[in-house]
Amino acid sequence: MTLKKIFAPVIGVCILFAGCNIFGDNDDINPETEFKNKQIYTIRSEEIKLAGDSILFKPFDFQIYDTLAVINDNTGEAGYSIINLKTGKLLKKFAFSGSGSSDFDINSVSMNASVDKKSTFSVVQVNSPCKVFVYKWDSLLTTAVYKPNPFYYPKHFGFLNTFLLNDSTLFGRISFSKFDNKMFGALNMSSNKLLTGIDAPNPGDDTTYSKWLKIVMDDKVKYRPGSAYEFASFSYNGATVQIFKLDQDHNFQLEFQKIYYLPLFHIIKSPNYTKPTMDPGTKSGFGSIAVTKDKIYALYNGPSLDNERNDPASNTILVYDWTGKPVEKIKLDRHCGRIAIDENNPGLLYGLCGEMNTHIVRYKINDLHH
Amino acid sequence: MKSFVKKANLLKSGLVMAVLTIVVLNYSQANGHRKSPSVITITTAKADATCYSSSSSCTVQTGDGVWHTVTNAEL
Repeated sequence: MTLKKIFAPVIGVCILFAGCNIFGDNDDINPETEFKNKQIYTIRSEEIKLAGDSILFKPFDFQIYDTLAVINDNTGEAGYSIINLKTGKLLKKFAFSGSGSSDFDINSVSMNASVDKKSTFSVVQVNSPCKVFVYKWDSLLTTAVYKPNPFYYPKHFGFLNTFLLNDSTLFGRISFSKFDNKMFGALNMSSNKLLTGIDAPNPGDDTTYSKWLKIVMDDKVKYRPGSAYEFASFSYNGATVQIFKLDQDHNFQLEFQKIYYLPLFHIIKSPNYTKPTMDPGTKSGFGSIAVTKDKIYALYNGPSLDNERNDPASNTILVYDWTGKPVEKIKLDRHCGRIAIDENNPGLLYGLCGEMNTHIVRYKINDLHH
Repeated sequence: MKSFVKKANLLKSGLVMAVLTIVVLNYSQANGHRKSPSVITITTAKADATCYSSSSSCTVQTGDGVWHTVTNAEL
């Protein structure tokens, strides 16, 4: 009887805690724990020596096409610089700053190769007026001053980046549309009809959180080379992974989703603006991704906190396959802010590394397993 | 006497439960346990268009309901 009286409250408390799930599972998982039993490869860089005319200022992102590096560097004059990787020399600048219809707000541009036609790529101006330019590689490299005409898309949504799927369809990450929680959109450029899909990766039912989540995630999106419209999206604010497909009718199908941890933010509301502000407790995730037809290389910056992220660079690459399974881990010999792989030469991984990401380096990754 | 012991035991049970609840709640909060994040709306008289740090893009909605997005270098 006495024992019962002693243990009764203890059992009661346990039941209470179990009911409330107060111990809960800590939802935050460090992605690196999934790679604990995977092979780790340490690789050494080879620096590309840049000529005087191709010095980088504050590059934001870059892509590699054969022997050319196309760098989103704000030089004050143009949004992009093309550097010959063999000579280190500046080949050309494009996306010039200005207020004309064929000019750019160079603080607000994003470029991606076209999916079907490798002879073209698109550049979107994210800031208003929202417009997209389709560039032809031949014309860009052979014409002294090449400024294609813009395509102005409807104002009720915004693209953060664009991938031209074919002559009439523009796909991309959308920043806002009807203020819902849909992350991606496919726009028919003839009819201006937008089909959206892929919910923001939020397990809860807080709709306000869900709607703003897609705006604050800062995810990196890449197209799977050679696939029929398969994409990977890895977030920098929080750490989330989404892999999805788009069919011929532009229906979205989520194939894999992993939430390691979500960003924390608040909404500031005034008569003039409604805007998100990150909570200092937000942990960072993936700062950059590069892909081949078999693997996704994700530069993992986390889980440093928001107020510690002045230098969003890392030397850790987590390698996944396209089903989202961890494959291997790579340790770089230096910290890099962005990584890229030329889809036609998947044996080389490039990095924008060092102070302000102003150094271009190259890593051999084709012989890791030998 | 019996009644006194009964009351004392009940009081003891209540105290144990209260102490354990406080301990576990504090532990839970200190270790950042969250089932799902929530968003808090902070209302101010004045706010500018500057967004948050450590991000490549920033989207705000102006008072007229229009959305605006900027990316990278301005931030």
